[in-house]
Amino acid sequence: VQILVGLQCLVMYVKLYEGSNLTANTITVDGYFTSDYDKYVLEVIGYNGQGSSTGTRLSVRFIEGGSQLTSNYYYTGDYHYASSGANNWSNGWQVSWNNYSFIDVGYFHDSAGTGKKSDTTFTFFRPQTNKSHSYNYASNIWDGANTIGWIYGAGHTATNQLATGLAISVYSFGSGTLEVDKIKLYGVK
Amino acid sequence: MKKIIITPNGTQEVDLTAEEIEQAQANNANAQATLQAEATS
Repeated sequence: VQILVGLQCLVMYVKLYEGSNLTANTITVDGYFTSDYDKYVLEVIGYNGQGSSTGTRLSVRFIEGGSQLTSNYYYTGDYHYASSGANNWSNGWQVSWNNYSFIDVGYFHDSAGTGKKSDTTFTFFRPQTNKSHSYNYASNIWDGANTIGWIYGAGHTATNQLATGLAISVYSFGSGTLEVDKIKLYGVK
Repeated sequence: MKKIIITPNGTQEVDLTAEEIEQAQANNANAQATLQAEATS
């Protein structure tokens, strides 16, 4: 009985997808959300970008019925720290929020090809229900020089929708290029 | 510009459509305005 009780307490991560060396303007991960899981964890490991402005930040959208949710429905707040040298932030801890047509994950360095990478872990709650969805994320950023930062963000979509997947791109889904060493998607039991 | 489409049935790499490229380029203008505002705030 004790063993059964112990097993019921386990949080089980079921890996649904893992891919590596992905370079594109947009990466979509679609068709994995089911009612089997209330929570999904997406790891974007070792990424940076190219693009005059857009290649400096990561953006994410939900996909609904094959199309990205592009209206200004993403209400996101974050708490971040940037050390000296961060191009777009003041030094120290900062709080910001926005309602954009994408989740603005925040700054990373345009250092494609240099091996200077950032990492983000996202959690998405109940995407496969026809409701507003909440999400949160934690990022570690570094440009290999004097820009280092931590970002903790969370938000909700302000519309009811049944999400089937996620799209990942550079800032604002502009015309830059995103390079990712690894993407992993888990369903959490 | 490329798009990588990952589904349980496999992974495809495709070119963005002309419409998608146009939209991405239009998004750049908004992005630059926002980032410049942040840089000067």
